[in-house]
Amino acid sequence: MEIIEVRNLSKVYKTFRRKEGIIAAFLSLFNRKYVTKKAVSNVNFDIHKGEVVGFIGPNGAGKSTVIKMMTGILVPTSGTVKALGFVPFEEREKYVKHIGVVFGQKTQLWWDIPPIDAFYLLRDIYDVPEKQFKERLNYMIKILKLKKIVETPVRNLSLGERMRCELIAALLHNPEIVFLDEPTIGLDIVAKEHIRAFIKHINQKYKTTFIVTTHDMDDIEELCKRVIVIDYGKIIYDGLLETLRKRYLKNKIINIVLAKPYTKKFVMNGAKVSKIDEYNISIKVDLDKQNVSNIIGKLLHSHNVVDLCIDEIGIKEVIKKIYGG
Amino acid sequence: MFFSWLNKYLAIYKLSLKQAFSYRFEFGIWAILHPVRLVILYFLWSSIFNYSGAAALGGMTLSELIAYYVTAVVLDTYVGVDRRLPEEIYKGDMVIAFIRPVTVFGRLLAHELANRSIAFLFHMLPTAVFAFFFLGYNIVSVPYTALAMAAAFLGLLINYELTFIIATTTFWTRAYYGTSTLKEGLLYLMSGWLIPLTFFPLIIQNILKFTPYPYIMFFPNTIFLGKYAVSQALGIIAIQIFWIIALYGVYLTVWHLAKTKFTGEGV
Repeated sequence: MEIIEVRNLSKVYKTFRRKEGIIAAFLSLFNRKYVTKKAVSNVNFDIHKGEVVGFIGPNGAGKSTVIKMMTGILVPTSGTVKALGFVPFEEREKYVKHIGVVFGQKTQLWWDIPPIDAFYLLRDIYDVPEKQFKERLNYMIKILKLKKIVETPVRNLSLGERMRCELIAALLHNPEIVFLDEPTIGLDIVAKEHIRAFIKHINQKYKTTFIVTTHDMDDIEELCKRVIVIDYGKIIYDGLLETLRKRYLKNKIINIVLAKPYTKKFVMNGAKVSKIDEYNISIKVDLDKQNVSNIIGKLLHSHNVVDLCIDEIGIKEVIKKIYGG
Repeated sequence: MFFSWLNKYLAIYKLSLKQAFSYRFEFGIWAILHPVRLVILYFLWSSIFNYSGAAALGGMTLSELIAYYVTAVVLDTYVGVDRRLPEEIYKGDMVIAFIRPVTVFGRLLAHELANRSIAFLFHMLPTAVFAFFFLGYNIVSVPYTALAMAAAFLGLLINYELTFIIATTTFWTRAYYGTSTLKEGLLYLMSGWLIPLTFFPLIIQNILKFTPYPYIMFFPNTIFLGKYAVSQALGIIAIQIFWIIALYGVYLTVWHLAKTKFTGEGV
C-alpha cells in the first residue's frame, strides 16, 4: 500500500550572489544579482507501508529539501506530494499528527528542561492517551537505555544521549511515518548501534515506515532494503540496495597465501594476478567474464593453497563511484 | 474537541512557567529593575514640575503623573514574541515548529501568557506595593481596577498580535534588529509609555485613536486612574475587541504569505 506518492516534484530556491570584499558587500545593498537554484527537479517515487527507505546523495544533492516537502515544512515549487491522503503543506496541522521527524542538526527538545518534561508536553500536544503514552515511553526508555538520562536538563546531555531522546520525542505519538534526517550525525559507534537497533525494533514491532537520510553507509546497510540515490536534485537510482551493489560491483579480490613460492604462473580468462611477495598473491576477478568459484576451483588444483580470503567491495566504494560520476 | 485543543496550549503554558523558573538570576534582576525605573521617573517628573511651577501638565497633576507611570511600568509593553519569533525564523527553528500540530501563533501566545503570569505575581504586584508605600500609589476604586485589568489584558493581546505581525516580516528581511528598534520606538511613543498622550496636540491625539497603539497602554492606564465614566471605559474595551479581531485577520493573511516564503534555512 502506498502511503506517500511523490509526482514531478520540484523546488527552486532564489538566492543572491555577490563577489568577495567590502565594496561588493556594500554595493549588494542596492543591486542584487539573484540566481535561481533548482534544488529538486522532477522527482517521482512511492513509499510503501512498513518500508525503511534510505535517501543517499552528496551534500547539497536535495535530500533534505525532498524530506522537508514530504513533511509539509516547505511548499513545492511544482509537482505534488500526497502522504497518508494529505497534501502536507496545505493540511499541515492535521497531517503532522501522523508523522514523526528527527533532524540530526536541530533539537526539538527544550534546552532548559529535562527531556521527560518535554515528553509529557508532547503527550498533550499530540493528544496521546495516558495508557498508550506510558507503555510506549517505558518501552523506548528501556531499549534505548535512558532511565536516568531523561531527568537531566537537555543542555547537560551528551550528543548521543540527546539524539536518543530526540527519537523518543519523535515516536511518542505512534506516528505512521518517521522521517530521520541524518540521525547518526556526529555520534560514536556505540551510539550509532543503539539507534539502528532501535529503528529496527520499532519498524518490526509497529510496522512504522522510516525514511532515513544519512552519509553513514553502515546505517544504510543495516537498516534499508531500498535506497533512493539523489544527485543534483534528481533521482539517479531507486531500488534494492542489493541491486545497486551488483550494478556497481564489477570486481572482487581474492587474497591467497601459498605453501610454496609463487613461480608457476596462474592464467585464466577474467583473472588478473599480482604478486605481493613470494608466498602471497592477489587475484582481481572481473565478474563480467568469470565467477569467483571457477577461479578458486582451478587454483586449488594447480597450486598448493594454505589460505584464501575474498574481499568484497563495500557499499562505501559503490557510493564513492556514484558520487564521483 | 475544544478541550483537547485547549489542553495543548495549557500544557505549553505550564511548561513555559517551569522554564521561566529555571533562571533564578534573571528572576531577581527584573524584580529590582522596575522599582529602580520608577524612582528615576519620579525624580525626573518632580524636577520638571518644580521648574515649570505649573500645577498640572498635560492635564495631569504630579501625583496623577506618578500614578500614570507606576501603572505604565507595572503594565510594561515589552512582549517576548518580539525576540522569540525572529530568532526562531533565522535560526531555522521554524522547521521544528512546522512539524508540531500546534500553531506558532498559539504556542508563542501561551508562552507569552506564562511569562506575563509570572511577571504579574513576582514583578508587577511587588512594584505596585513598593509604589504604594513609597510613592503614594493607590487604586481609585475596585470597579475601575477590575475594568483596567480587563483592558490591560486585551491591550496585551493587541500588543502581541501587532508584534507578531511585524516580527513575521523576518521571513522576508532575514534581519529584525532594525525593524524591532523602530517598532519599539513607535510603541513607546504612540502607546503613551514615554509620555501620556494628553501631552500631544489634540489633532495627533485624535489620529492616534484610530490606531491600535493607545489601546495597548494609554487607555488601560487612564481607566485605572478613573479618567472615564464606566460606560466610556466599556466603549474603549469594545474598540479593543474590534482591534483584536481585525489584527487576527491581518495575522492570518501575513502568516500564510510568509509560510510559502520559508526556505527552512539553518538545517
